[in-house]
Amino acid sequence: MFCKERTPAFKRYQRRVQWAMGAYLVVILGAVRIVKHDAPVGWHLYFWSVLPALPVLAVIVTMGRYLTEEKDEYQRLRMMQAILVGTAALLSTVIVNDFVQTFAHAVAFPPFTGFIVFAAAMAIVQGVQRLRDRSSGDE
Amino acid sequence: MNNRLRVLRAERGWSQADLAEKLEVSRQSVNAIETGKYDPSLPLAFRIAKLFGNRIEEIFEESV
Repeated sequence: MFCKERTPAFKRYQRRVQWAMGAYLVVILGAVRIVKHDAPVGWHLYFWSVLPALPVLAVIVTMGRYLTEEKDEYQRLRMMQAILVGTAALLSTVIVNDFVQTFAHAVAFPPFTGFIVFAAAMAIVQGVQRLRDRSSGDE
Repeated sequence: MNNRLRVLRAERGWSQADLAEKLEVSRQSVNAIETGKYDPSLPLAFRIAKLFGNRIEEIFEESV
């Protein structure tokens, strides 16, 4: 039934994200093992460095696909709001990082900080959206 | 924008889930429209009007 909490497009989105995260787990474990034990150099090293990023990029593509496939305009708007806030948080982190590095010669934020901030901001927005639904006479 | 969606729905004894199913949207969408948090697009407003057998302006009105 369409009226359930999750729309068909959202179920597809969740399934794709789960596949991508599963692939990420396999790839990251493989990449860590190979880089640590085999110590590849040159383009081999670049290959194993880039490989774990591909499932994460697949998640970003999945977000785009969800926005094009979602027929429920309100759900689409909610996802767009979450992505927008996530992107704002990500860009803010990058900007602050760049300025403190440039002017204060500070150490750069740890790797992956940007994506973690992006995902956390999205999760917070989605949590707030759910709370707002509950507090507005949701039947 | 104000609307009479909750009243019209109650008159027919439908739950938000019932209306959501008829409109092929999520229950949250119906709730957001009823509470004025979200103004539907013109195509969705037409679908709502057609479902209740009213004109759009009989369901939705500009808030003053």
